[in-house]
Amino acid sequence: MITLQNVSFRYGTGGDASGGVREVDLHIRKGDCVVLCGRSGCGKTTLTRLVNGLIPHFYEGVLSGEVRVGGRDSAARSLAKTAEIVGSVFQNPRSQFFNVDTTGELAFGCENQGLPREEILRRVDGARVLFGLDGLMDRSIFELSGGEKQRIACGSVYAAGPEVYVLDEPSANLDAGATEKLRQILAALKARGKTLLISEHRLYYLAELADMYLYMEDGRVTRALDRREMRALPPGERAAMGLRSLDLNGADYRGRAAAPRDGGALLIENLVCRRGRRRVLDIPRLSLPSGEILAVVGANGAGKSTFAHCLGGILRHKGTFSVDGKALSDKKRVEMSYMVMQDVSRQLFTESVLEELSLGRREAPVKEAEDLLRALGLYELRDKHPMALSGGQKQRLAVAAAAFAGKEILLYDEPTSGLDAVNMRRICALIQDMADRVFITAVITHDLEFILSCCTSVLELSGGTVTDHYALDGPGVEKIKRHFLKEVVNYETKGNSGKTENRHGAAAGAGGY
Amino acid sequence: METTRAAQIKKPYIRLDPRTKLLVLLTGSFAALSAAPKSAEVMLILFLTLLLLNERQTGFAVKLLAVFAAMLLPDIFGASLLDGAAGVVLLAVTRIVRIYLPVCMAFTLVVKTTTVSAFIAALCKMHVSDKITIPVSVMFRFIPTVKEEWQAIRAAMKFRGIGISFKSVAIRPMLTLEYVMIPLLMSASGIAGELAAASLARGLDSGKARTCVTQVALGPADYPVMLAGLAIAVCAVAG
Repeated sequence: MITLQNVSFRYGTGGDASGGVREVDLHIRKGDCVVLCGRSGCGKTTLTRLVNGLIPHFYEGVLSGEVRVGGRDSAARSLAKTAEIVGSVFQNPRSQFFNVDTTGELAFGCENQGLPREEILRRVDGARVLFGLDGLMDRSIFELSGGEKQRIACGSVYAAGPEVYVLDEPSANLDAGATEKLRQILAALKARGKTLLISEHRLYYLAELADMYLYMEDGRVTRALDRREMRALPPGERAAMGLRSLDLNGADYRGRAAAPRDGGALLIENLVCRRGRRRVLDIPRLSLPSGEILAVVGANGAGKSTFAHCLGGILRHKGTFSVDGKALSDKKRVEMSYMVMQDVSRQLFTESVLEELSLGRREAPVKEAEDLLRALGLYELRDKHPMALSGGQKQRLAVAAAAFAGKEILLYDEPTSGLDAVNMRRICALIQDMADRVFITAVITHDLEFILSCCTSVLELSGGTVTDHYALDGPGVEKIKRHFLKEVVNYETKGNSGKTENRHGAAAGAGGY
Repeated sequence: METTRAAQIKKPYIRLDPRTKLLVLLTGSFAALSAAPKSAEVMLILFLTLLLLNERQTGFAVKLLAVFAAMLLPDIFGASLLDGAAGVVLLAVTRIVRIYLPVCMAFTLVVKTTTVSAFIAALCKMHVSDKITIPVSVMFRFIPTVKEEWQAIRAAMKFRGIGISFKSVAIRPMLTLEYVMIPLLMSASGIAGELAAASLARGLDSGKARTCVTQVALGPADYPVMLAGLAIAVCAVAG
């Protein structure tokens, strides 16, 4: 179905050409599910773009060799022709939608092919039935969760009826339940004989689906492993390759005990937050000891972001926050806290790395700033524009800015989404390092591997209430694993009844609606 | 930043064709900008309020109606109470606000209550070329995205102690603008690129005639609304 013969590609045309793939030979049979894995920047995404025709038709660069999909050369064929046989699902749910409403989006690919209206309606209905999209029809896409958006994206591609599906890190922004739902969709496609090419860091949910894993390094495919060989790979070797765990349950605890500090605890009392008439957060009493790295977990819509925004003092709410009987007002907490966002680009404001640190401070000690940059490996980049940095570097710069401003409450919003194992360990080290300097660290996350390698305690939220709060000691580790497996099981049983994860999350909470 | 509202797209009481709404935008803006007499102005506002209520945009409609009423008060009573420069400034400000209120309402009517697919279908029926339809519908798609980005950036600015306040805008307008615009433009251009790639990979540029699943047709309610829109514009110019 897909054949690449001695394909090389470099982005750009002049001397600044970079990235891309080199001398790739590969053949994928019809009906196979092939997983591309390897570290960030190894060329996975480039390979997917070669197959769906965005290279060379959209991204410019130097291409040699031949890419054949469905028997024909995709460079010679127009992008729209390729689109009829290759369907693409992208990493960022935010930017792959053309419509504002879900039903319009499902029909979009078919409309572009100029199919008759009745045929389109029939196909949209087919996608609705196959992927259980009943609760999602006729809704505004901007109100969907990440998992729901990805399901609409898959459904929309399915309606257009391609033979080949190319997915670029489809699970990057999904929680465990939504990832399970995605797995079911992929299994349904595979059962219908579709060919799947998936670039992915999270491997556990593909373990039963993948026929072949292609491991990429520096733009080359250096290893090809079938399902059995991949499973037989010793964990040490897998980790050295920078690959994530294959089995969610098999991940073990590599974190450290919380460094107990005598700084007391942050006490939260009678915290209630409403959106409209609905109570989205209701926490009667919660005590967070200092020095902890708190993992905030729960399905999409459980109130994780709301909790973090209340903690950071930027969202209006009722209730009090205090340390040793001394109340911390909202204003005070905004001054004390800092949130490292999922999309870090939104929080870098100045024209150089050094300037970014001194922003908001009248007389910034330059020496101190330089020391901090050295400690975080950013010193060489101090005169660069923040937007010119890589994703990981931007993340480090945002953290550095927080440290330099003397922040005491550090909040992270899904810091490991879309990271390979090496970069995940890097951000773990950074978060742990920073945790020693601040009062409280809280991390919103869907990543069990990350929690087990970094955090010291867990806060489980559901429907806006705290369902559990425990330290990650022996029994705690078992508990968090159970929590993630439960999320998956909930989907297997409820998955096909057309419930959306949002409703599921609200139904689990006591007074959701 | 997930939201949990399971809201359906709001269904209007009487469905209006996007073409009717576009005509209302056109005639409404024209009437508002043509120094209309007070009677025409009031008629226009009431007309737009009714249309917005029909689309279940109740909160927004009531809010703007209240603002309009407040802006009308100085015109009726204030002129005799205030003399000199203060009176002139007050009158000028309220009149300017009143000119832009109807435009804002009509624009909301078009943007907030029309889906992209219905909008494209309407433009198709008007035989507008794809060269115009596609960029305009992308812009449509972009408005809520920019809103999301804007909210995230404001949160980020608060954490950095450079939050937007009346004071910061008054004292350092350019610097505040820069802090907002750099991240906003960066993320908007990133999203625009990804959006273009995604829509091309799904065959937007096929050159074939597109089908539109959403069907739009002028119904019995559309003609009176169009007529009323035109009539108000005529009143505004003639009066």
